[in-house]
Amino acid sequence: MKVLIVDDSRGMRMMIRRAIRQAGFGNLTFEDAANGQEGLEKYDSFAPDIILSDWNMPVMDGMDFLKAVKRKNAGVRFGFVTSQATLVMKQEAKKAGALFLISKPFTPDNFKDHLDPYLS
Amino acid sequence: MAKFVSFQSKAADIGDIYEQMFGRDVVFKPLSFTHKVLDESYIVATFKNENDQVIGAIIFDMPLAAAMSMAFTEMPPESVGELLASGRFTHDLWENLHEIFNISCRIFSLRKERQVRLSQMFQHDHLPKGLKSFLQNSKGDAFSASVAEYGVGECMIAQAEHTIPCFPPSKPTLYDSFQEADHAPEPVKESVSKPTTHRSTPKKTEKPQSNGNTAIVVVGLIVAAAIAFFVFQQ
Repeated sequence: MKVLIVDDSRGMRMMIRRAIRQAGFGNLTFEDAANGQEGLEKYDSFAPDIILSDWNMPVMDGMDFLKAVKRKNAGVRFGFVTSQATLVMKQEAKKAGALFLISKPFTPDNFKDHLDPYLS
Repeated sequence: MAKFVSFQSKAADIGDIYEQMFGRDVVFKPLSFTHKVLDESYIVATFKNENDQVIGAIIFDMPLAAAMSMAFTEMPPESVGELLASGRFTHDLWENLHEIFNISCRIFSLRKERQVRLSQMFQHDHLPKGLKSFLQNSKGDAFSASVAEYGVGECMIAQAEHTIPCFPPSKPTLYDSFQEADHAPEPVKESVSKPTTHRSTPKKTEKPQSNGNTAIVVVGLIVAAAIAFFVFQQ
């Protein structure tokens, strides 16, 4: 299974990888991108099974990235990992086609709960 | 949704946020005094609401900033002392600190759900005027904070009772300065470059005015010469 992690913080991308591994998921291949624009390029070359993206990023934010990647493939699996997680944002994310929204800070269990249906 | 019932429980709630962030024990304890944090070197981050109004600030003294920025990506804990001695925060450490403050916006949403986001980061010696007076006059909550293996420091959390317009960044912000630089920033106290703007603007506006006056004088002289020539011929 291939996971694309999109976040402007390199440290955060490392933490997400670590949390996913600690959640017990094995046999995963990861690829990173620092913003939505890079994410789109990586999507074409990497063809991930699931995308985990931050919301607030420079160049192209997570919501624009989600909409752009949905135009390429309406069935793409996409989840947000973000520090701003209000009810309104959750509704907006769901409406745009995101499967879930994990708020920062997170625990490995958060990833287990949300990724189990797709990565197990 | 957590609700603060006492100063002690507030400290515990804040500690939980950082504990989740680092995946290790983080203990916040309330301090009885508030402004000691502002006496030493520190990093301050401001936070805005959805209307671009500053609703609060979080201050880390340098030992805490060093401990947290290194714990974030699990760098060797024994290097915290070296980092503080050298005063050299690498690009990665500043970036970690930025992300830590970014996630820290949760602190302002503990009591009620609202959209809060990180606005800017500043060094203690490069604060905009509005922010400095805000910090000095606010009755912020001060805490000692210990990050397991990485060390202890102090933190202050200031909240604006009434939301205030965003502090104008009179000087480059810390994050802006290291985003622009493609290399590791200078030592903490020197990493923000001096502002170079504001002086060139009047010069740019003066020059066209001067050219305009010269043109008027030249046209006037030509017209006067033409009239004189006409009168002379008659």
